[in-house]
Amino acid sequence: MKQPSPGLFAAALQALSSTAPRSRSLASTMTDLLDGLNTSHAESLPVAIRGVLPLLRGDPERLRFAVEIAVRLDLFEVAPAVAELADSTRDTELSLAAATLCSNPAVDQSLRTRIANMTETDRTELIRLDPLTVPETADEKYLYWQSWPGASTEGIPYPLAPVVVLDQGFDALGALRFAVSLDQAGAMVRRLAPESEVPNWFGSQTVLVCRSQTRNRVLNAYPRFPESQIIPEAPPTDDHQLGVLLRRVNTKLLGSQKLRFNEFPVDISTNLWDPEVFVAGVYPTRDIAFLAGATRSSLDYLRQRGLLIPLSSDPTRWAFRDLVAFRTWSYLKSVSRRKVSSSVVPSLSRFAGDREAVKLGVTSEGAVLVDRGDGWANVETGQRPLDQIITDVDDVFRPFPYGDGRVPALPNVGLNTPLHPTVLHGTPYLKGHRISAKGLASLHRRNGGRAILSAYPELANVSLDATVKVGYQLLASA
Amino acid sequence: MRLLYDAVLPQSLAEEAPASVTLDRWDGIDEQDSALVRAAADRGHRGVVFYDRDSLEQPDLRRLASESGIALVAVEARDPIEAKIRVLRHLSRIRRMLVSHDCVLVLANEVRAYPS
Repeated sequence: MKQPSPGLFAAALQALSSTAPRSRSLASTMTDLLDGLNTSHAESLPVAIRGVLPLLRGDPERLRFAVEIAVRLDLFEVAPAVAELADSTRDTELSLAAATLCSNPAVDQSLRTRIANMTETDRTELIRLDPLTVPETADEKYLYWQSWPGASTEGIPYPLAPVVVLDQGFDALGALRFAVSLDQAGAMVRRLAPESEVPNWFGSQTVLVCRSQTRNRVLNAYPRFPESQIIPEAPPTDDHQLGVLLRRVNTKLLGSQKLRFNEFPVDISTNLWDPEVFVAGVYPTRDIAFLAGATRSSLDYLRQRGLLIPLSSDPTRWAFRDLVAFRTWSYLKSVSRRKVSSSVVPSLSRFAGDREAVKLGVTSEGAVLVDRGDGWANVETGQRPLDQIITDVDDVFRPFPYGDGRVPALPNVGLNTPLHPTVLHGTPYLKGHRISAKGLASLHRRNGGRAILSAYPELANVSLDATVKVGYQLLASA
Repeated sequence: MRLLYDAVLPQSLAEEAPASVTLDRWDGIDEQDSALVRAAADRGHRGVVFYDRDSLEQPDLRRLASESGIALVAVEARDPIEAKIRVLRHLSRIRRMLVSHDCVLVLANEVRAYPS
């Protein structure tokens, strides 16, 4: 095992001693640990963590936090340090963590024996250490199957968290980043060292990501492990490909427990001027009025004069470009001392979007301009504007005062509450989830937070308040 | 019959469905509506269940679903729990409607074909 440099020791100590266990998540701390690492650092990071753990002895909370990170990433290399600390501090959490880390066959048998002697009667630790331990209670059985999913020759009657086994023969940095991603997605990570025996990890909810030689090694030990649960690919280095690989892992999982993908958005076009996005979305009149900061009577005025034509009439629905047009007109009226021509409304609502546009602008006379990175140009004539005051629609998307209130920002209507015309037909939603703000607010109205968590248990640790507030505002505009 | 349903509908909808119908909850993140239609086609579902009828007012989505052979079902309700109840109550009717229709709307007391 490669020895860490003094700099890596210092960086690991800095990262682990400055964690904020009460306010920062394990996921963000793990991500911080990997920040700035190269492959060589990643190879020796577990040893660096092993080296600095004793220095956290005086801070039990941070010590447990750091050990938890090691457990979640299956950094079995730190097992000796954790065992030593568990023994000297008599901390049961550390003892449990040591047992979990020692379940990896790469850990020396003598250390497993030492942990077993330390625990003596704690069956939860014994089960983690040794697949030969026979579980007795229902909880022990669940723990056993989760720890040793390959030990069963018949179906396991419990829904287990997905187990993803990573070949340690891959590039260390890619493997670590993927491990962090898997943990964030709800998987149990197991690292299979090149020369270690093949443990009882390979059950129906296990996916193996490995090189071909490791595939052969595992199948020799577990001939019945399905080929369909093996992904013979190295973890990639960029976030997009990581997300793609996570999805591939997810498709291999046959049980009811799947991965969560909050951290890995797919490629939704973030360019709102993209034609496929700009003309999309379906908004009821009340929602348009709220998001544009105007009244329904103003919208009716524009409609009656043929300046804004809805997507459909029965029921009346509007597209995102109509929202942009209406909001821009509202904005111009709020900031301009002069009368604003309503011609800006049909101009914008007729604009079909522009894939290359990085900015969209309008003049008070109703001309629509795009900037494709080389300055403003009229979308119809292609001409450069001369001496015209151009309103950048980005400014229109910022919150602005209107009447007695304040118009919300677009597209981020609230904290963690974006809207996108192609997601949930354009209604504001909880970021990372296909759950609308209105849906959350309507449940909250039914029975508060309990109704929300009952419907969406996956939101247990998610910040919802801002999204619920937006939902209530939308419901109130009805 | 297998249906994919949007994540805004409760987790428990899948658990409470009768054995004759498999309801799978969308397990992805905040992807586009079209992603559900494509996923349903890839996974062999008959259709996708969305919350509220506005989902059915998207011409591009209707076209994609039609090309993919995927039915669109929208349920109108005051909140997602009520929506779940309506889906469960009308599952037999939904199933019958999807034999001859590709776009249906589920209301309190009926399931009707949704016009194009």
